[in-house]
Amino acid sequence: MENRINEESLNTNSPIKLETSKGLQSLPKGLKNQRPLNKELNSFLLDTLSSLHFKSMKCINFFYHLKGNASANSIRITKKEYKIKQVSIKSFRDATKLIKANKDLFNPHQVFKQNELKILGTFLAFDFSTPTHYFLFTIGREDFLDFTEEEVLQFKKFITFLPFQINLIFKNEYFIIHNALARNNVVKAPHQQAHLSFIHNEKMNLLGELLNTLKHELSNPLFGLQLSLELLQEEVFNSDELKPFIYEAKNNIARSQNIIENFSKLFSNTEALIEINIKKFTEEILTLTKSETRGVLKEINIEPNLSIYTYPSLLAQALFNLIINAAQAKATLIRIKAQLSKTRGKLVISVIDNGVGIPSEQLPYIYEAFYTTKSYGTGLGLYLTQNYIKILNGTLLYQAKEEPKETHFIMELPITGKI
Amino acid sequence: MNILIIEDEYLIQQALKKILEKKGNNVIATDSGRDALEIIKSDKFDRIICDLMLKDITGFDVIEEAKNLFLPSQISSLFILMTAYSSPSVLSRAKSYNCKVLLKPFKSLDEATDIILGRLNEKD
Repeated sequence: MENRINEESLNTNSPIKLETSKGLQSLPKGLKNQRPLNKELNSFLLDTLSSLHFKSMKCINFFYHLKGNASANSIRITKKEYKIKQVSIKSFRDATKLIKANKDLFNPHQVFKQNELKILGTFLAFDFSTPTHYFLFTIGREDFLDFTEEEVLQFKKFITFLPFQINLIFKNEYFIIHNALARNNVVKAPHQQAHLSFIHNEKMNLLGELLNTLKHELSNPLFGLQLSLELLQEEVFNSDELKPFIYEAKNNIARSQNIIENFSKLFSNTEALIEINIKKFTEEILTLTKSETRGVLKEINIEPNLSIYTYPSLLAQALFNLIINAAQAKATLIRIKAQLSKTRGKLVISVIDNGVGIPSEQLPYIYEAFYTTKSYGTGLGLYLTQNYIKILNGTLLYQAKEEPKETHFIMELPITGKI
Repeated sequence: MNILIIEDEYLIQQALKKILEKKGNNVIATDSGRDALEIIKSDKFDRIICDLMLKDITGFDVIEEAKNLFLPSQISSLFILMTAYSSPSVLSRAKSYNCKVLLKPFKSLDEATDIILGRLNEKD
């Protein structure tokens, strides 16, 4: 059998190319009768298993789970057999948990108990996720011997280049469409976009892990400091000279807590896609901004039946930030419009205010992190907003209008579901 | 009011203890869930403020053990859970005990102490 994952492709940055037709021909006897879930995926897994680097390996298990589904799918491939089946979400979670419990994902894992997932003996594993799916990949010899350094090294190399290989899964879009059916017509991502967003996702996951650790490690000490300062403020300092220091220290702690909170939201994508009614949603967000927008006139111009599939907490945070920004720009009127742009297949939400606007010399910096012109700002509002919208696969545009003077922040979001 | 604080972050534990003492309460603090269970067996408390992630066992473990000592209705008024993790699963489990949950960091210290001292009606 030809090994298409060759030395060269593992050692360079070039995407690994698989030829579909050959991939299918290389399926062993008996395999052809199986209903292929995804030819590309099948041949990719088979080629991986039969590549020289994994010549000692006997079995690959590949699991994928559409978030929110009650079951996960398993593909088990050995040199003799090939099986696709549904497994319970519990087995899938148990396996993921076991692998996650071992923080160094490159380390070999062992499952001694034979469970539904049929992972036997020592195996190498990794897991990853996209906004819609969780994936788990394991490879092993089905024995209990340790892996050699060389085997672990090859596995690391394999993972390093995985983004290109996973690209194969998305290549003919079959995989996405197949699972999206259950989600009631969630629109498939174009090939290139899926590929880029996958790499983007991996980065986000890594950053997410880092930020979670930071959040975990910093929240408690900050909270301790916060409580201590409350105590000091009440009791120790009756001195007018020193009071401002306590006050400022408290503000600084609050700001740090805010930054941690906002960043961790940015990089966690555990939420499920949900259908939301845009008008109701906007009204709810406006209620949340009540104290910040006191005295400001608000106008909502949204069709009552307009709805999309999206990640609500990200969209909420983005909309919330834009409204607060408008209010802080001393607006007396904030208008929120939403409409479908059918020609471009987008939902366009605009937050329009008649406040002071943004001076042109500041425009290049408005999306930069920690850039602010407000004495009380963190400089994260627009930076985070833009990133939330990026995660939603949308864009954020800025427009200024004269006569009447208006600032427009326009979110364009893909219509990822039925309207 | 006799209050027990179970919290393994020293500064939080001590500051909260002091804040509540200044409001005229007797406060005992521990950083271990297992020790807390021993203390609960020997002393009587009006409130037990329990962090969820302790160094030895979880706050839920403490409550499960305490079920041997108290009625469910007592548990719900006695225990106040404190956590930085407001995930739906944590909140729904806390709800199953009918316990109030304080999210760390406190949005407002006054509000938090009111909840601890029982001056606020239960919020959903």
